[in-house]
Amino acid sequence: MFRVHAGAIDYAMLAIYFVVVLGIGFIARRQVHTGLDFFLSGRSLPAWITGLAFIAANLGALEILGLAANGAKYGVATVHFYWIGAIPAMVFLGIVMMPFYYNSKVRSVPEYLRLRFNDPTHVLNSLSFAVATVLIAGVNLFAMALVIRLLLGWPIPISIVLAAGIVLVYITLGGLSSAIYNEVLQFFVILAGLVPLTIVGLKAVGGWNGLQDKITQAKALGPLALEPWGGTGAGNVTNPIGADWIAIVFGLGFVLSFGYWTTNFAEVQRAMAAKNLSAARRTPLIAAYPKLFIPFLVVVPGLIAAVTVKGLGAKTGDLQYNNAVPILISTYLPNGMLGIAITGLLAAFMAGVAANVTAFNTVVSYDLWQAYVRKDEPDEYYIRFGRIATVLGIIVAIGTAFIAAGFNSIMDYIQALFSFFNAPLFATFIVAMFWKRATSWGGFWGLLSGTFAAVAVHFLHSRGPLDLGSPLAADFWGRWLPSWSTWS
Amino acid sequence: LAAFVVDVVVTVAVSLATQPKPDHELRGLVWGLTETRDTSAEEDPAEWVWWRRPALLGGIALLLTALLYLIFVF
Repeated sequence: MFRVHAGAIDYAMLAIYFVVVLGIGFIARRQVHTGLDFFLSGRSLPAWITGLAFIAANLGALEILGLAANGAKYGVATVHFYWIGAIPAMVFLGIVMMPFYYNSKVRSVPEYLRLRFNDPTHVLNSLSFAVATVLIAGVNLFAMALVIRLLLGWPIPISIVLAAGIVLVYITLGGLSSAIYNEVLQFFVILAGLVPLTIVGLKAVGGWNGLQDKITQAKALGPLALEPWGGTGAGNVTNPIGADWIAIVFGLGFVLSFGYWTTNFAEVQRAMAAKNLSAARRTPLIAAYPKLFIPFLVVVPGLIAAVTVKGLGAKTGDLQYNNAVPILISTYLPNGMLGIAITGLLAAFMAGVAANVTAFNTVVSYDLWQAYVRKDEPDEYYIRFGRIATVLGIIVAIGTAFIAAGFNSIMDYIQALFSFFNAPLFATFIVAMFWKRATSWGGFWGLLSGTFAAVAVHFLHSRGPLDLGSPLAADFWGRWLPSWSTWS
Repeated sequence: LAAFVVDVVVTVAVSLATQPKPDHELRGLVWGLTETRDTSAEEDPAEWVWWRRPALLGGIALLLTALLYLIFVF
């Protein structure tokens, strides 16, 4: 229904992008001499590179499509995910936590737990992270294939294998450097896709004022959809977002956002690749500035879609909220710009997959294989192992994507799984870093019981006995990204 | 949030019941036992120009966040 008529010029854009991405992989290959080069870019990169990679790693397409969907559904309050739900945590990571990560010379987030606590805590966290991150990569692949099918009509297996294959090649060649340089490129390609879309879309609805008028009149949204904090009083929630300010500030702004930004190795790894402590600390801080302004390119298109696309918000079919951005692309963009926008979306998906895969291969190689299976092999052995781990990780991700294609609800399960491991992890880190009396076994049992508590809350809620308000409010208490759970 | 609270409570409880690690093993890993001074500046004086200071960059980011919220409220 929203199939676009991509012309030769659009496919040319896509082809050029693929060639450049692979070229970066081949160039980065020449810099890889040691394990540290492959897994952590030799700790040599300047802050602005790692900063842009940091933001691109987070700017996966699930994030763009999901938060545009939330914009269409809940209005301006979606900016909370970018502002209170990200900036304070990024600043905290840069200013307070980075010295511990960088100065202790650990090569991954789980490795910090090994030094601070003990091996069981380390294994628990490494295993859960490795499993969750490769599954998330698979979900990202599947989501991408859905969008490509909607816009270009390609069969799902072809998109999955093509995109995964390209990511596989450039990471196997150049390791983290290759992923990071590509993420910088992807960041700009994503912007090049979203900026024209936002401008053309705004023009079509009569500018920002026209958009405001239309939202105020829209039945589903109304005037409160223009206010991030309006109608979020405790016990009296009238804002479409359906959560009070306590849930927003403490649920989203504190536990979930700090858990995600400060302990997710797919993010922190980018900062660890920086050339010195100062650059590592500035990585999330530099990333905070684009993060501040990205909602104008994501939430605003979501709002535009909400008032221009008739019937948006269907439970099934092409008119689901998650398709808000692809629908706008097919409606407003002419050939040429179309190619840039599709390339931008693809770039976003590949950035998300690559971030997860590089974090996965590092944790599997250093934290599992080197730490517990084959301890004293030469450096080249671990580079080779890292490349094999990359291939295996991508194969599992492709498998996950195909399974997700068969059972839609599996995506929800995987995202729930991720939240089980992520939410308690921040608690363990904060105690580990600020209370020296915390013991090894205290760390282990705390992490384990926190994980079980997350599982318990999830099942009590999904089975009914525990009422947490709207689905989104429940997400603030229970998970990181609500968009993930609304995706099905 | 429940997971956060349970994690902290159990960590504290089990810690109080078990032997702490000696301080020298925790150097560099815990607040108070770590040299938190950023030595990048001594290694390379160019790092210490004002626009490269983490605290300043972080502060401006937080201020901008507050400012953007204010624009929407009024």
